[in-house]
Formats: sequence, C-alpha cells, structure tokens
Amino acid sequence: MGLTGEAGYLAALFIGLIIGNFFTSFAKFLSQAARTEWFIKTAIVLVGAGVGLKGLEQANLAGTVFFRGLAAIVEAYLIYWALVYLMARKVFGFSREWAAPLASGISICGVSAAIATGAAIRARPVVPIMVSSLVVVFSVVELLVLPFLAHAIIPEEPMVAAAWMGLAVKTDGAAIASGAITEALYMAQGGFQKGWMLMTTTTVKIFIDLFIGVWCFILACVWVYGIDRKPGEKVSLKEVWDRFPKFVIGYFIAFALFITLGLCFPDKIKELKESSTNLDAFRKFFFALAFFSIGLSADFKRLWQEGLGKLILVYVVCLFGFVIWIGLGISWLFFHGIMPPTGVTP
Amino acid sequence: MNNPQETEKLVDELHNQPYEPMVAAEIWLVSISLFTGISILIILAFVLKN
Repeated sequence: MGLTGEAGYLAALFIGLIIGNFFTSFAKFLSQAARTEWFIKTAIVLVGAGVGLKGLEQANLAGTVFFRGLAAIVEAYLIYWALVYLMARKVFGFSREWAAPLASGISICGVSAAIATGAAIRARPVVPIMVSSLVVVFSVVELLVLPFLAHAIIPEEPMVAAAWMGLAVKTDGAAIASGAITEALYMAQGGFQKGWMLMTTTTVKIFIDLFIGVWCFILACVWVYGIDRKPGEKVSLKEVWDRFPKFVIGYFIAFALFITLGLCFPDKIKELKESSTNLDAFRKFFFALAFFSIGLSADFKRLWQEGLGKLILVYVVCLFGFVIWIGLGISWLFFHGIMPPTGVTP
Repeated sequence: MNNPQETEKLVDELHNQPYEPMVAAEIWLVSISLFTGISILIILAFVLKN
C-alpha cells in the first residue's frame, strides 16, 4: 500500500472495524482466522532479526552514541515504567492486570512490550491488545508532533532531538520515522552529514527493545513470588518459566542469529540486509493482520466506544505529563553539545 | 473476545476498576526501580561529564 507501518496498521484496524460492523456475516466467516495474538507474536519474533542487523550496523558506526544508549534503558525500564505503573494504580485506580501492560506500553516499546508483559503477568489477552491499539494511535500523534517540537525548542541540539525521538516515540516504526523527519529538519539548517541523527534514534530504540525479555523475566518473578503466591504456598521456578512469554525467546534467537551471521561473515552483510528487508515486509504484514483482526471483533468496537476513555486519559497524562519531558531532560543530559559531523556525507 | 458477557465485564471494569490495594511486592518493585534508575543515571552522567 506504500504506507508507513503505523498508517498501514491504522488502515487495517479501520478496514477491520468496517467489516466487523457493516458486513457481520463476512466478519463471522473470517473470525476463525482472526488470530490476533498469534499474528502479533509472529511479528515480534521477526522484529528481532531487524533489531539484530540494525545493532550490527550501529556498532560499526559510533561507540560514543552506543554507550549513551545505556541511559535509555535505565530511563525506559526503571524510571518510566515505575512512574506510569504508580500513576495507573494510585491515581487512576487501575488493577494490576491493566496497570502493568499500560506501563510497559507507554514506557517501553509499545506493542511488543505490552503483549510480552501481558503474558508474563497472565493478563487476559484482550488487555494488552487494547493497550497496543492505543499505543499505535498515539505513536502516530507523536510522529506528527515531536520532530517539529524538537526543532522549535532545541534548534541548536540535533543529537539531543534525535535521542529524544528514540526515547519518547513508542513504536519502532514511528520512532525511526520521527528520527528521519528530525534529521531532515536539522540537515536543512546545519549541513550535517546524513545518518548520524537517525543512527542515534535507532540506537536508543534498539537498546530499549533488547531489554524487553529481561524486564518480562523480572515481572514474571515479581508476580509469581510476590503477588500471586498465596501465604504458605511453595512456588517452583517452573511457574516462572510457564509465565515467561516464549515468543520473546524467538525474538532473541532471531536477533542473535542475524548479529552472529553479520559478525562471522562481514562480506555477507548486503545479503543479510536483503533478507532482513524481506522479513520486514512479513513483520508489517503480520502486524497489519493483527490490527485487522482487532478491528474485526465486534466487541472491540464496544470497548473502544465505552471503555477507552479512562485508558486514553492515563496515556495522555503520562505521555504528555512526564514521559516526553523526562525523555527530553535525559537526552539533553547525555547528548547536549555533541554535534554530528558536518560536510558532505561520505 | 467475541463473548458478550466477557465484553460487558471488561467495559464495567474499565469504568469501575475493582479496588486492589498495592501489595508489598509492587511497592518494592516501584521503589527499587526508581531508586536504581535515578542512581544509575546520576552515575552515568557523572562518568560522562568527567
């Protein structure tokens, strides 16, 4: 369709909603095949391959930016997650089942994190799916607003703006598209070499993506040993394993495979890139199918109409209240004063 | 997801979330996360500036 990932997902959601509401018998016919969770999990495994290859490319480019990406993990997982969870639980009164996927969706990397967290805490499948649909909608809003806001408020700090996009925009596709828009805005004024700002945004996002599995393991342990355990009950490690979302392992295998192949056969990186591009088409296809399936469900329309208001409120308050501003502060702390090289891109 | 009763329950839940007080494990998770996050940030900032 020639659309960006997010626009394509919204179009798929919209088409699903139309079929689900106006062509009900056709929707019923399709419902057997509408395996939302399966589509999302398959897409997430494919994301791992792309992340592996991008990680390899960035490692060859600049160690400084790579090291500073560590700050992104600390911020997304330890600060954002805790604050959003606290807000959702204490201020908005959400239950744990809703608060944890919401915190992961708003603070980490959107769809993948919300689905993985939902699995780790044994939330009902509809909970992370609702959160995911919200994440995609807000990513588009961020994509349209944040690069221009960055250029307006920090015109002299291109790398701060680039890192900010990686920290604040919540889906991979939207974050990288924001990085590209930011780069285009700053390059028009400064004559910087192409690729450095986009590389910064991508590196920050990759760091955040990589730690989803670690965070899910921590959440599974906290839920098994601290929250769901009844007094006097003995819990085995198997319970943690049962809860751990297995598709995250697939994600890591795909990541490790691509990065290992790239390191062992540097002359084959071109071919790896081609296969990654092909896999990316499948990833987008599976995500689009997932959003189509979400829209197809008649019940989802009702949930959107009647139940989403409160979720949107948490999202808006957290995202625009502190997530993007803390992101800007930390990007400033770690990247201000660093300039991309100027001149003609080699 | 196509179960009307389940949908009804979810809609009701979203409007009136059942009160679920924060247990010790949640408080620990949030506190340790924030403390560790802020400490690491300060250390990283200090290391980078020097």
